[in-house]
Amino acid sequence: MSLVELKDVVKSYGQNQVLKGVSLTVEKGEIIAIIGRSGSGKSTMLRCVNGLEPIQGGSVSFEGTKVNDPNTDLRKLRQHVGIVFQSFNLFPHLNVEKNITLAPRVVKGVAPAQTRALAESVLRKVGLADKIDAYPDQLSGGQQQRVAIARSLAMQPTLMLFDEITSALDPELVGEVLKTLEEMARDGMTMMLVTHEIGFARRVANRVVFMHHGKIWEQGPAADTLAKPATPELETFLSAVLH
Amino acid sequence: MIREFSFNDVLYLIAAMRWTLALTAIAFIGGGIVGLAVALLRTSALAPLRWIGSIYVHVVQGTPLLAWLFVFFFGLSIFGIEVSPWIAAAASYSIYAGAFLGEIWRGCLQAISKTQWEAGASLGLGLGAQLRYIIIPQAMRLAIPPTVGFLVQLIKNTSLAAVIGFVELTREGQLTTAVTFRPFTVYLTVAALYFALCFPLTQISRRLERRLHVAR
Amino acid sequence: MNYTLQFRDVFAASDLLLDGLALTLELSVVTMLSGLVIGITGAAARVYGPNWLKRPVGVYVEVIRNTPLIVQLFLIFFGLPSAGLKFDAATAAMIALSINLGAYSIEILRAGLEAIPKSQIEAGQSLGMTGLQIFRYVIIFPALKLMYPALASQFVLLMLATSVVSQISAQDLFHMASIVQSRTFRDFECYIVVAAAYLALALVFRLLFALLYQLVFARRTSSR
Repeated sequence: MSLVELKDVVKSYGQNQVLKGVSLTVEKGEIIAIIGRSGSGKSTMLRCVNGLEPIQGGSVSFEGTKVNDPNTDLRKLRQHVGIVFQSFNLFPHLNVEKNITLAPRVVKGVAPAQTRALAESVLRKVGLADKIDAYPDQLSGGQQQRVAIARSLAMQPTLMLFDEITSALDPELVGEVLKTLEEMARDGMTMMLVTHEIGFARRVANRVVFMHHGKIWEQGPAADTLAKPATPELETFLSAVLH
Repeated sequence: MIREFSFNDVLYLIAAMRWTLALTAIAFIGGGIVGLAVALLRTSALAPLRWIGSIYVHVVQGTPLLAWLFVFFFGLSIFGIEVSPWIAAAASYSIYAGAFLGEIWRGCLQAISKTQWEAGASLGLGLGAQLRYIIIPQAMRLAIPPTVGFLVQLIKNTSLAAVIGFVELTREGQLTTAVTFRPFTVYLTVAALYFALCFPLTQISRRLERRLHVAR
Repeated sequence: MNYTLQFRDVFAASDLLLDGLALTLELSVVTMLSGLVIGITGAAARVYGPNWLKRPVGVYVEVIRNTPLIVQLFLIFFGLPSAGLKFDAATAAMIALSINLGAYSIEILRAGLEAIPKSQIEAGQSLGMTGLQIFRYVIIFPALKLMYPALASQFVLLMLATSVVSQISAQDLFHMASIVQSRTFRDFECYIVVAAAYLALALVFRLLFALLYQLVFARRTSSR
């Protein structure tokens, strides 16, 4: 059984079909980079995996559980699927520690005595142990994004989704976030990431998925696919992004 | 029997302010409960609930408070329900304040970005937990200045309860006028007392508002 | 609890109610116009005026906004005669309502004026326009457009608040309702009908304001 299975997923906003039958499987331990132009449906596909976007056709399953089944307890499922957003979405009224420990406390019932240690351990992973008492608006964009990653990690997810997490950052702050991702990859985390960082995708991902017009246009091993695109669309896309 | 307007009368007027404050407090509590329900209805995911909330707000904000006071005080007695000014005022003001507070708080709830709900949901928080830990704490900070501002409206509007014989500051003013026959002095005093009550609150509301803008 | 609602007597007195409606409408429209004039001139004085003018306008706004309308009304109708100024009820009502709405309009429009970027004024100045010309041609239109929703809802609230003038026996809709009530003893029906009438009026005014917005503001794109 694959960890994630998307079968013929169709998603539309009113008349506008964003996903036109997308099928994809992800195995445990894989790192999938999803690339494509804006509007190609890559973020939408990612958001379907943890049920943030209801779908109109096909099916999405995680560890064999149907995500798009109304009887599925999405809250349970989301404890195992972390997501990090482009705009960080930290809770501005809570400090870093509380941002991280809110869900473990409220959702998983972790004892208050242990939450501080939990926050410290995930913050160490993202290299921000000294910011535990800071508030989000006291941090740089890169730091905020790393806290958002730590917040997801604190739930000990099986799968992590990353939705263009470096797109809102100033160029000089992108590196620190990508470095954090690379460390997570080394730890064996299963990850799906929508990204514009082609070099990063080549270096870290096992597989590249190229989306175009709401479909998976082409996919394959990262290095090969990026070096020798099979379709002219990917070739055009790559030359536009790389130059 | 006409007597002079004396310092004692001023003291009586000041004493009557406690009923103005008591009525304000009742209206705020009743209106707060109604208002919270209205705000949640108006932001509900279910369209029929939103309609109910919206109709309520439109009806209450489209009718004079005076009409509600009269319906409750004079109107209900014909059904054999004897209504004291206290009950009539409490009911009318709760209905009235509920609509306005509901609209203020709805705006604050909606000012919190959808991504905050999403972030909560993605961490496995249920709807109740999202509201309690993420949305309401943020919305409350936004809500305090306009809520204090509305409190000023409420204090001023308790003066209308005078017309159903509720003895608060304005009614006390009318009674004092009747025996001293010094309407100008009496009503000027009454106005000054309202001002003393409302102006500080207006200033506080304004300062809080400014601080909120700086913080963002 | 064996009461049956009966609206016949109330509707039989509809000519009285219509008379009242006429005064309510007159009070509302006149007050809205005077309130707008006071609002525009007052806000201009408050924002651009010399200090000796800014101050008293500010005091006027604060005093009115922090005291109840009904007390202002009593002060003018019952209080001023002792100072030799005597008005009939309708005139006193009009004065009190205008003074009241004027203060709220100043506060609303002040926020509108302050929201106009300084660069707009500088652009006007660099074209050699006078202060008055800049205000008239450059500033007031976008400021009014920006604050139109707030102004419109304040005006609707004012229309509802005119019911207070019944307390000095001005013959408005609400006053006529109490007359009909005392004749028919149909208290509940009477106030329900009146409440419905105000609700209808509020709807009509909101509709008219929306229409006016389309006519005056929507088609012309302003600087904002």
